[in-house]
Amino acid sequence: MIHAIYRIPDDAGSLTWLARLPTGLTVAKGPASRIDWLFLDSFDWRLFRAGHVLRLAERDGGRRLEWLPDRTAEPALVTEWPGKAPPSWPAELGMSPLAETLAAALDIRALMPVGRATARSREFALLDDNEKTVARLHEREFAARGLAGGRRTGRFRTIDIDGLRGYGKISRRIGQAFRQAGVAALTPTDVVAFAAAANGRPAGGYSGKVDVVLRPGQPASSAARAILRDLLDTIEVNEAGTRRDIDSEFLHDYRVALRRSRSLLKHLSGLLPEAERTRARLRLQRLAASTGETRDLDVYLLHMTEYRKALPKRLGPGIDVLAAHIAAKRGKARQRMLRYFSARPTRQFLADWRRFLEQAPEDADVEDQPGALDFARARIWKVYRRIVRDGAAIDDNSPAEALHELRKRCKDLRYLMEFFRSLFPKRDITVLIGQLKRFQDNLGAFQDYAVQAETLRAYETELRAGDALPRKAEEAIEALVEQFDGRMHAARAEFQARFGRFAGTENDKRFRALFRGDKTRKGIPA
Amino acid sequence: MIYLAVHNMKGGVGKTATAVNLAYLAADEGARVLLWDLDPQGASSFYLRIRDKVKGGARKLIQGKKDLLSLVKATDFERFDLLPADMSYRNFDILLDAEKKSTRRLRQLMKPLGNDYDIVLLDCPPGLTLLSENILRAADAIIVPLIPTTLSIRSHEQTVEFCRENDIRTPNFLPFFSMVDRRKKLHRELTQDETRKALGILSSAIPYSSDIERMGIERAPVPAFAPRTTAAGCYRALWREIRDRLPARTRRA
Ligand SMILES: Nc1ncnc2c1ncn2[C@@H]1O[C@H](COP(=O)(O)OP(=O)(O)OP(=O)(O)O)[C@@H](O)[C@H]1O
Ligand SMILES: [Mg+2]
Repeated sequence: MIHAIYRIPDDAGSLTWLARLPTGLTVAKGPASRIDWLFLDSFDWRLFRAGHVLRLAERDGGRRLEWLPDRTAEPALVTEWPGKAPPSWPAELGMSPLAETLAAALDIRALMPVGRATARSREFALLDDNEKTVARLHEREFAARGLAGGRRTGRFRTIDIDGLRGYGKISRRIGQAFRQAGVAALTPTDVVAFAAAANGRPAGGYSGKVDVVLRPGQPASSAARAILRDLLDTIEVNEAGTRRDIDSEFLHDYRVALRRSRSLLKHLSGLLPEAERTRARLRLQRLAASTGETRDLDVYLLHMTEYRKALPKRLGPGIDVLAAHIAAKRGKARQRMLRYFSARPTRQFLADWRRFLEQAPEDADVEDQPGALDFARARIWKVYRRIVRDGAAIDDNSPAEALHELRKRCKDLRYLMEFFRSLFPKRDITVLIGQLKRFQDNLGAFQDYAVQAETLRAYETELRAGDALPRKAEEAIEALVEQFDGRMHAARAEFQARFGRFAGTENDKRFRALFRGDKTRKGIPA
Repeated sequence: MIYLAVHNMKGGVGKTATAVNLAYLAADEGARVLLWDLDPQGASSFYLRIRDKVKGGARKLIQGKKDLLSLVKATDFERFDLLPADMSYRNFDILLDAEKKSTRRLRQLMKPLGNDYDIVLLDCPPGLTLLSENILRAADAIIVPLIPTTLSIRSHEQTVEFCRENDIRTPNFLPFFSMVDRRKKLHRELTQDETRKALGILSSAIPYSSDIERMGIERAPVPAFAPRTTAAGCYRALWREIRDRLPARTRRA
């Protein structure tokens, strides 16, 4: 069955689409209705980016969740949703196909309202000479409103074709006629985009990634400011979500943006005024420190299901004790963190930092700046060489710290490559980032398991000190620690091979070609 | 999914009127319903304003070379679809006879409909043929309109007998009185409770009604064009009684 949406041009009068219908059909006016759609998505638009739409549709006092996957104009799954507040997590939908589909699409991100559109809708039946309905059309006039309702912030009109089974040919002919008349075909995601724009957050507009387009000849400090501004935006939008505790990714993205900012600042010695640079490094470091405990606990809560799966069923109650302990700690840690967010010096710094980043670079920065491209190549090359040297020195007897250090350097390299990726040929830089990412995964696994094992042991000690460590919880923790030690060693055992692949001749040639500071500048835009 | 058939070997007893109205009511209640107009005369199709032919005819269909779903037409009513009639359905018996397991072919053909429909309702032509046998074997329940006459009741008994002779696992027959005319003495007598119960006939009956005759002019189900009439009320009561007799798996919450 064909379901399609067409946009009625703004300057077209009402019912102008009538003139475009194939001949031989008559039109019967059907009932009018009102639609209220509240669109739901994750903060980083996972549904929208994949072409899916989830909307809470309110009609005649009834509420239902409608799922329109892959840009189709017809709900594939529909569930009654009597609650006034929309769901935040798929699990709230119980065991249902929709819950499963959503969980897969959203992963660890929560749903939140991202736009609201209301429409007056009028149905029209298209009849053949037997007065049999052969297609239905819906003319809709949308008004986008703020999420809380309120004033109309935009409007547009659509005409939907709702094909009927067995009458595909006619629906196709109507669609053809509309297209020939230059009417744009839409998908339900376009309606989301419209509602989201009216709500002030463009659909698909956020991703955790750094996305700045730089010019090769731009002074390095001006490029750095652009990157730091982008990171500050990320910090600010994620602070809001962290405060509301919508999901754990807000704090994660917040921390990554802090870390990236600090990482870049390290490279800017002699380019930015030293007083500002030092203050920012210190303040950002403190901010990051204020979030560390909450983040660690978030990670444990995220792992809880996995822990349960990894252990025999009888240790379930032991995991419950651990989970309750972590949840309680997290509540307190969050309070401390939010107090730090709100503290005067924090607010003052963030305001100053934005002002500094937005002022014209010429005013304050060091003269004789290198160009952004030269700067990026020099830095990336230097960090890369260091990684190759340090990595080659690691053998089976090296201490864990050596791997830890190497991991930090890889992060530094990764960030630099991502900050400046717009300056390099897209294919080359993407391949290299991919290679680096795979190597990092290995280092990350080693580190992760080491830290998890260590922290679990610390919790065990805490629980024991508070006389709140039942036998089962102790057993559960011991079993988990043992598993983590095992995985840690597995990751360690793989290190040589992974490093070999990352620093191998092939890759090394690519790094050389792209970043080394001599004349081999093939393929780089001037 | 459940398969229902409206069947009576006698003609003109109200099979088609019953099939169209009950299918409409089931869909109105929320079930996804497919009505298959098996009568080459195409009365159901006519009532629903659908005059499409079956491409490739009965032959392709019986031979399984045609996807049943591709032939389906939406009616004007939500969740209510029709598989239209075709003149070639006259040859059903000959075509069925040429198939392996010729008495079970229909059920086999209908299997793929299960994803799309909750109820498949068959509007059968009169007669007691190989097609009838297929239907009697395929359907989970057989709705039988009976005009309250001795002859009509006898013909139903013949059908029951036919099943026994042909080893058809006794289908779930749901006979009810159709076209009841209170002015006729025999109708009054036969529809009396004791008589009715003794014959195993449902308590809901459909009266002889000009509103039902009007279906041919309105070309729509009675509850759709005349929802507040007695006739519509009677069909609703009949559907409720039938629905409550169906196996639990088929009832919708
Ligand atoms: N309850 C009723 N009251 C009045 N007229 C009726 C009633 N039921 C059916 N009719 C009319 O009687 C005629 C035969 O009805 P219908 O087509 O439903 O019977 P049928 O058993 O399907 O016939 P056939 O055996 O030819 O398929 C039609 O004209 C129909 O309008
Ligand atoms: Mg008939």
